[in-house]
Parts: sequence; structure tokens; C-alpha cells
Amino acid sequence: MLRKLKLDWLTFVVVSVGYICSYTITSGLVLPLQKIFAPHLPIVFSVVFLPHGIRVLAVYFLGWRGLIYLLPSSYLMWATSVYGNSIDLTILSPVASLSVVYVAVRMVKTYSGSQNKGAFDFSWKECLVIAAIASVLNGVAHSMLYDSAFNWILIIGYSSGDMAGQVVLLFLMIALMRLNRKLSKFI
Amino acid sequence: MSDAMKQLSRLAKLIFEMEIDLGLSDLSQPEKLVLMAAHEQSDADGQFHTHQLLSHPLSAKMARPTFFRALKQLEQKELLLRNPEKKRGLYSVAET
Repeated sequence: MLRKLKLDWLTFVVVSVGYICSYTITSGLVLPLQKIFAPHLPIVFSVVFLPHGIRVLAVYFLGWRGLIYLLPSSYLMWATSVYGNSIDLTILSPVASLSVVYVAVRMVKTYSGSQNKGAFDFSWKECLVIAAIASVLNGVAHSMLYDSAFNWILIIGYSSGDMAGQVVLLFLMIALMRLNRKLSKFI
Repeated sequence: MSDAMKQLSRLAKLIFEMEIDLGLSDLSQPEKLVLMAAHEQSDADGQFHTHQLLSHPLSAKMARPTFFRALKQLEQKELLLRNPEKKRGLYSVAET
């Protein structure tokens, strides 16, 4: 079955570890800081949601398989938030967040493919555009899930948190790669 | 190379391109252009020929001495590797 779908364990482990680590940093560091400095903001969204970056990168590189790889860790983290941290997240939240990323990737890749030389000179710019579209769609989807209508606070909160998460994640990765290059000179 | 390693090297390339494009690396402008052209022209094994870079839009307009100086400096910084068999003009992009 796994072979038929061309799924492999190593990719699953890398994606899951990335998602769980980024979620842990968000819930263990960003959310407590958010509670201190912006206690009026709803706790259902984070001002810097790093896992959004992992979702975008996974689906960008792995396509629809990225959704399958992300689903278990997404629901694991959903369960820790709902049952461990008493955050009122709807059960459809992980599915909605993953689906909008796939829609955004397809939209941008279709548009980029329709251009003669591609719409973007570098893939990181394409990734940021995907992240921006996905974050707005995620905001709208969650607003509908919670309120059955447009709740602008949720839309703006989810969109800005997801986008900030993607940018911060890419800069963290740059920092890690620079550190790795520096350390490898000493080993 | 396994699928996971292939995707990780694509991710490393994306991050490295971002670092160079945003000017966060300590490379000179010709070095950045040559390196970005090398990343774009390299095949699945990371190998490329210098003539591919000379015709690449990023480095085509560069003066030959500037181009080869940048190439040499990138080699000294271990960002580009000369083919160990000394095959003329054949380089590979170092794993970032």
C-alpha cells in the first residue's frame, strides 16, 4: 500500500519531526509570550505559527503526499492542544489547514506553469507567495469553522500568524545552515 | 539518493538561494551571481560545466576575468568543488 502510494518512512519521519518540533516551539515559547504581552488575543491562533511553514514546505516539495505525511503529526498536535492545553480547536482544524496549503500550492504552480519562464526567479519567493495565499485561506476557513461567518479578528489573526511563522521558519533555517557550515569547519 | 535526501537537498538549495538573494551571505556580488547560476545549472548530482555558467543570464554579462576570479574564490570558500579527476571545466556545487 505504502509502495503503491510511493510513500517512504524516512520522509514521513523527517516531516513529522519537523512539524512536532515547530509546534512544540510555538506552544511552549510563542504562546506563553503571547499570553503575557497580548492577553486580549484569542488563544486559538498564534502570532508566529511555525508549523504553517513546515506544511507549506512539505506540500511544496512533496505534493499531495505531503498531506498524508503531515496528517498524523497534525492530529497528534491537535490532540495535545485540545486535551493537554485546553485550547478549543475544532476537529476539522488540521484538515482545513492542510487542504488550504494544497490549494495554494496548486494555484501558484498552475499560474507559474502558465508563464513562459515561470513566474518566480527563485523558489523561496514562490514559497512565500504560497504561504501568503494559504494563510489567508486558512484564516477564512477557520473563521467559517468557528463562526459560520467572516470573523475578521480570526481571519487577520490566522493569516498574520501563519505568514509570520513561514518567514521566521525560513530565517531559522538560514541560521541553522550557517551554524552547520561554521561548525563543520571545526570538525 | 533516496527520495527523502533528494527533497532535503532541494530544501537546502531553497534556503541557500534565499540567504544569497537577501544578501545575508558574506559573498561579493560576482560570487553571488556565479553561485546562483551554478545552483541553477547543476544536474541531479550537483555537477556543471563552466561553459554552462558563461551562457547563463546571471553571469553571461560578466567580464571573463571577473567570472573566473569569482569561480576561484568560490572554490577557495569550498562552495564549489573542482572535479577530482581534474576534468577541465567540470565543477560541482558543495552540499550546503
